[in-house]
Amino acid sequence: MKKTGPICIVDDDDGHAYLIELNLRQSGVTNELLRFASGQEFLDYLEEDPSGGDAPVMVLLDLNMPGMGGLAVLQVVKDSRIRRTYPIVVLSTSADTDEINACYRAGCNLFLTKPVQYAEFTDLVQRLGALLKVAHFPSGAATTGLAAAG
Amino acid sequence: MRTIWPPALRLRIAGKVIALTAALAAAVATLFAVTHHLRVQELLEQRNNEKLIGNTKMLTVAIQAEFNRLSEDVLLLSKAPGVTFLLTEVNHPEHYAAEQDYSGVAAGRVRTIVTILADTRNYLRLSIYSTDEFEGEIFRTELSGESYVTYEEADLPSGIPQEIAEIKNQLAPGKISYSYVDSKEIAGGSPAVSQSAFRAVTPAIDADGHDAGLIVIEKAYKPTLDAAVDYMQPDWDSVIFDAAGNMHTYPVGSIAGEGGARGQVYATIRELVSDGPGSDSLHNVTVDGRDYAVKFVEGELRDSATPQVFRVATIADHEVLYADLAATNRNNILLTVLLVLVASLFGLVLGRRFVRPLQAMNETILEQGTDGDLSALPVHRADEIGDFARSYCTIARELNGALEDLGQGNVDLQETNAKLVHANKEVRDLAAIISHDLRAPLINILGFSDELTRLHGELSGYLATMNVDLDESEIADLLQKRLPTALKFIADSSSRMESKLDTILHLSRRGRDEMKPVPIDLGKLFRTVIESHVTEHNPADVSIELDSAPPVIIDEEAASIIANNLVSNAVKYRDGDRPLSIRIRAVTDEFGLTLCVEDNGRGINVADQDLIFGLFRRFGRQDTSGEGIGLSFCKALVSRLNGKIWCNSIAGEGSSFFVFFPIELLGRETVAA
Repeated sequence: MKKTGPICIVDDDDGHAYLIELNLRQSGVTNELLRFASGQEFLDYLEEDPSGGDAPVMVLLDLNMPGMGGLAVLQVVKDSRIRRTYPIVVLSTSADTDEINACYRAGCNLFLTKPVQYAEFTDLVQRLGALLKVAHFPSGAATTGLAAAG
Repeated sequence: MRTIWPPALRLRIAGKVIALTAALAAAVATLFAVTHHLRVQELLEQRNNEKLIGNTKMLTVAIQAEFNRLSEDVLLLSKAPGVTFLLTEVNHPEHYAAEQDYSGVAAGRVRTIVTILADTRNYLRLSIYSTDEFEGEIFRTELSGESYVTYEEADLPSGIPQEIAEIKNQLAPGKISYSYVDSKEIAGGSPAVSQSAFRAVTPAIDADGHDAGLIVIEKAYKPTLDAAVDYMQPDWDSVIFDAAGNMHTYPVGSIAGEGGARGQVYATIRELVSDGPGSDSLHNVTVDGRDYAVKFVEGELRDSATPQVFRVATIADHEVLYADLAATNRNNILLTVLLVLVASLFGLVLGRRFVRPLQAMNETILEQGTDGDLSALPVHRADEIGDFARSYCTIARELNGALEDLGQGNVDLQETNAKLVHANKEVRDLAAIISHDLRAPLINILGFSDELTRLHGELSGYLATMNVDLDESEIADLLQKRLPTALKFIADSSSRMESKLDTILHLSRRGRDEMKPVPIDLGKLFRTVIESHVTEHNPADVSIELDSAPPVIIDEEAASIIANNLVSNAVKYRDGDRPLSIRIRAVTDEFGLTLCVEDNGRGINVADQDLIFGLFRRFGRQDTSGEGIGLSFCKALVSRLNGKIWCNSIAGEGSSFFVFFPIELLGRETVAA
C-alpha cells in the first residue's frame, strides 16, 4: 500500500539533514521527505497547509535550533487538538536527562540521541526507517504514508 | 494630669503605695476582726458574770437602796421642822439596831418604837423602843416585862391578832390606827406563805399618862421575795407621822426622784418570782442606767439575816452588746471601704498614669515597629515608662542601623549569589554547548568523512572499471595513499575529540548526580576489583588487608570508580622489570579512615605528583592507553564526600595512593575496630 504522508525533518544543520535523508533513503523509505531549517518554518508549513496535503507520518525534530527551539515546536504541536497525534521523534545531539524528561513531558513520542560516530548514526537512522515500515500510526489527520520498499 | 503627681512619683513608688495600702487594709481588717472578737468575748464574759452577780446585785442594790433611801429620806424629813417622829421599816432587828442611828433625831422626841417583825424563823418579835432621852441610847421598853416576846412559829398564825389587840389595848386603846399594807392569807409554816404586813400606829403614852409619841407597829411575815417586792411596791407610800399624829404619805418613786424606775424593778422581780426558778421567760429591767434582760434561775429569798442568795440570769445588756457590735462593724466597714477606696484610687491612678501609657506605647510599637514614627512614645517621662520608651527608641535606632547594614550586606550577598548562580548556569550552559554545539559539527565531520570514504571507494571502483592503471598514475597515489590518510586523520581526531567531550560531559553530569550512600565493605569491593584487573595477562601479588576496616557509607558507584581507578592505575603503570605487587590496607583513627593502595610500579616524579589529579593529565611514558581522567574523576568524587586523595611516590620504586574518608562516613558499629 502506497503511503503518501511526508516525513518532516526539522533541523537547522544542513549536514545533519542531509545525512538523515541519505540514510532514510538507504533504509528504503520512499515517503516524501520535507526538510525545514527552523522550527518556525515547520510551524508555518503546518499553518498554511493544515489538511490540504497528507499529514506527516513522522516528524524528526532537532532540539537545538536557533530561534524557535525543538522543545517549543514540540509543545505547539502537542498542544494542538488537530496535530497532537503527529508522531514526533526528537533527535538531539545530547543525552541530557533533564532534556529527555522535558521532551517526554511535552509529549514527544520518541527521543533519540544523534551518535557522533557515523556508523552508529547510520545504524540509528536506518533502524528508524525500518521501524517506520512496520509501525502503525494514527488514522484521520495523520495518514500514514509509508512505503514498504523492500 | 502630670501636675497631679509629682514628677518624682515613679512606678515603684506607686507599686509600693498600693501594696502598702492593701497591707494596711488587711491589717486593719484583721485588727477589727480581732477587736470585734475580743469585744464579743468580753461581753459574753460580762454577761456570765452578771448572771452570777448582776441580778443579785440588782436586787440587793435595788432593795437595799430602797431601804437606805427611805431611811435617809426619813431621817432628813425627821430633821425638818415640824417633823417629830419617824417610822422604821421592817428589817432585821439587829441590823436595824446597829445601823439605824437615831442619834440625829431630835432628842426627846422619839419615845418608843415598837417593831413587830416576822423573820424567816417565823416567829414574831415585838420590840418597843423608847427614846426617852435619846442620848445615843435606845431604851427598850419591855412589853410584858420582857424585851422580846417570842412566839413559836406554830403559835403565830392564831396569836397575831391577839397580840395586836393586846398591844392596842395596852398602849392606847381607842387611839391606835393601823393599816394593812397588804394582807394575804398567812399559811402557817409554809415557805410559800405570802407576805403579810401591817402597820399599826398609835400614840404612845407612858406610864404617867404623858404623851410618849407614836408607836409604830409594823409587821411582816416571812419576807419572801414576793413579800419584799410587795413591801416596796412603788405605789406604796411611806408613811410619816408628825408630832400632831398626822400621817404623811410619801411616794417611794418620788423619794429617789426616779419616777417609776424602782417600780419597774419590783415589777420585774415580781414577774421573775411568778415565773419561778428555771423559767426561760425574759424580762427587761434597767438598773443603774443599764438595761438587762433577766430571768430567774434559781434560789429563793431567804431570811434577811443571811445573804439573799438567789440568782437571776442576765442575758447581758443586749442593747449595749448590739450597739458595741454594730459600732465595731460600722467602723470596720467604714475603714475597710475607705481603704478599698484608697486602693481603688491608686489603682485608677496607676491605670491612668502607667497602664494606659504602656498600652498606647505597645500599640505604637506594634503598629510602627522599629522604623516607624516613634515620636508618640513617652520619652520625656521621668519614670520607668520614660526609661523604657527611651531605651526602646535607642534600641530601635541601633536596630535600624544594623538592619540597614545587614540589608546592604544582604544586597551584596544577593549579588554574589546571583553571580554564582549565573556562573553555575554558565557551567551548565557550557555542558549544553559542548553536547549540542560541539557535537553537532562533529557529527558532520565524522559523517561526511565517512561519506567521503564511501565515495572514495566508489570512485576507486569507477576508476577500476575505466581501466586506469592506478599504480602508475599520480591518481593512484592520491586515491590510495594521500586521500585515505587525510580521511583517517580527520576521523581519528574527530573521534578523540568526541571522546574527550564525552568525558567532560560525563564528569559534569557526575558532579550533579545524586549520591546514594550505602555501607560499602572495602575488602569485598577491592577483592572484586582485583579480580577484574589482575588476570593471567596482568599477574600481580596482591595483599588485601582490610578485614578490620569498618564499612564506609558512600555511593556504591563512586566507591567502585575510586577502587577501579586506583587498582587499574597500579596494574597499568607497573614496572616491567619486576613482578607487580599491590598492597591494599586501611587505617582508622578518630578522624576517619585512610585507605592506601600501594604498588611497586614505576612511580611518579615528585614534581608531577600534585598534577596527576588534573583532567587529561598523563605523565611518564605514554605507552599505555588512557585519557587522563581517572584520577581527576576520583578527586572530584572524594571531594564531594568531603574526603581527600593524595599520593606518595618515588619514581622507579612505586606509588602509594591514599584516600581519606572522614569519620562521618564510617559505619557506627565498627569504629572501635
